Amino acid sequence: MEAVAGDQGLLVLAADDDEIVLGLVVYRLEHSGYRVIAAHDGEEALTLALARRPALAVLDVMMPGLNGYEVTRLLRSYDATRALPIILLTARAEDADSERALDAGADEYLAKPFSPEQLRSRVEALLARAA
Amino acid sequence: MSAEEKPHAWAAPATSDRDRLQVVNNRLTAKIAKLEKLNARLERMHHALRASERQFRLLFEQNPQPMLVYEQATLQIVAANYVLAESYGYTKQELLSMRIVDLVPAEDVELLTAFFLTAAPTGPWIGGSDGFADRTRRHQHKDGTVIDVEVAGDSLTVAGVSCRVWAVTDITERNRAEAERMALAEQLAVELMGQNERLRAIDELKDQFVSVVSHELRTPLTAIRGYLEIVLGGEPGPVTAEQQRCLEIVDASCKQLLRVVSDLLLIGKSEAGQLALEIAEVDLSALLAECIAAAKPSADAKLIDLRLAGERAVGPIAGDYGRLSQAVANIISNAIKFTEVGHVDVRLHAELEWAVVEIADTGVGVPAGEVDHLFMPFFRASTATREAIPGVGLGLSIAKEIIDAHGGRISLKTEEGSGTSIRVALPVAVAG
Repeated sequence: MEAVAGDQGLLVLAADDDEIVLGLVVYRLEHSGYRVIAAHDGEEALTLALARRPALAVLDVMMPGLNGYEVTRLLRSYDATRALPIILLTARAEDADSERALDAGADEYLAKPFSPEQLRSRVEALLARAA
Repeated sequence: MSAEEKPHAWAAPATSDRDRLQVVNNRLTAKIAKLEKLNARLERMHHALRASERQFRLLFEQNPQPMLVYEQATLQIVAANYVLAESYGYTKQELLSMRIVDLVPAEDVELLTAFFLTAAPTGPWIGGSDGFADRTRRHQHKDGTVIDVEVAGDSLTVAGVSCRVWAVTDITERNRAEAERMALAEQLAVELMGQNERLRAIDELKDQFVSVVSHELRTPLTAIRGYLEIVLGGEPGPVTAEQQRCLEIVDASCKQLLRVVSDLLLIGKSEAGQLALEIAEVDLSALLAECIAAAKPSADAKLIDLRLAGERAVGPIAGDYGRLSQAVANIISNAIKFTEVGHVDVRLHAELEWAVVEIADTGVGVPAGEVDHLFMPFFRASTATREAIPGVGLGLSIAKEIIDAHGGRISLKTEEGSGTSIRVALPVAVAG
């Protein structure tokens, strides 16, 4: 795994088709000491996850092409990414969305609008659990 | 005379013969008189019978209802009244040379002949009950006009011959009116269905709109609030006190916008019957304390005394803590918004199987004519617009949706100028 990278921090994959929200996620994670690779849709996220083997993935649910649920399900089907910690960003706070997120195989979900600090602490907690 | 030819015995016997003859004569005279009487009676009876027959014939002939009589075995018409002949366009003479199947359209003849000869009913009957629907019972006038008829009939014996009498009613007009009525009803039903469909489509569009708008607003709100949090946290650089104050206002407005978005989404969901509740045991006392604490700053800012004015022990209720908090918070927020001077009192008590929350303010109140609309989405009381009290008119309708979804009741008492009291009753949890 490329994840353990000494001084450079763990590698995290962030995927969102909304450039501004993606920028926010990247900013928060980079400023929290992680290295971040950004994807702009589901397919790119899947490709990057398999190629770069990040330590964790933050995926938006509503993405064109493959959505967040589908990417999660696919990542769970590959040996290389079966245990990858995944946080899904859902557009709605409703139970149905959170249930779907967990059903798809995500470890956590955050409903928009989420607080960057909240995201940071979830990422940290999940990585600590995975370590 | 034979008595004069026997002189030896003429005195006494002659007398007795004459007497006997007289007796016989008297008897005969009496009999004749009797017979004459009888004859007169018979004559009278005959006259009466003739009169009666004339009357009955008139009753048949002059009946305004078209009538005819036919022989059951041959279907030969043996009598038809004036109005039948008149309306069908035949002379009576012509009718008497026809069979009843000559009165039906050519295409019905075969079917009806078989029916009349084999399966025709005996005894009284009314067309339609004989296995032929009214619509298939048609007659044809001499000029070819086909009419719908309803036939009432009965069996009778004329001079030892089995016959049937028919009374025919032309129901063409009735059927036409009925068909017109049915067509109209059908057309109305189609129009109504179309209208329903349009309304449903509009409703779906509205739901879709609310849903899309809410979700689309959440994404930029995520960015705005997220970056605000980062800037206010001082990470990108130091923030001056004034910048901090300005950004906090942006944040507060953002929260308000987010609340409106959530409210819109909730109204959309509850109207679509999709308001999901996470039911658990709820301690109303704790819930009210939390709501009061949360609203305290905005009450304090207006120098309004928001207080728990009365509390009696109430059992736990089954409900969605978050949603119920939202309902109570909306009511309290409204009470504060609509009160300039005075206080907002929150009370909790039990009434039979209900837990009752009352929130009373000393605010501007609502005009009597508007009370019924207060729980409707987007309704704003005239006092709210007059006093420029902020809001979009969703608070109370959301509270009502949430309370309704819990099987509870919400009601309101208000008087313009002297305040409003809202009462929420929620069913107390029953074990099991």
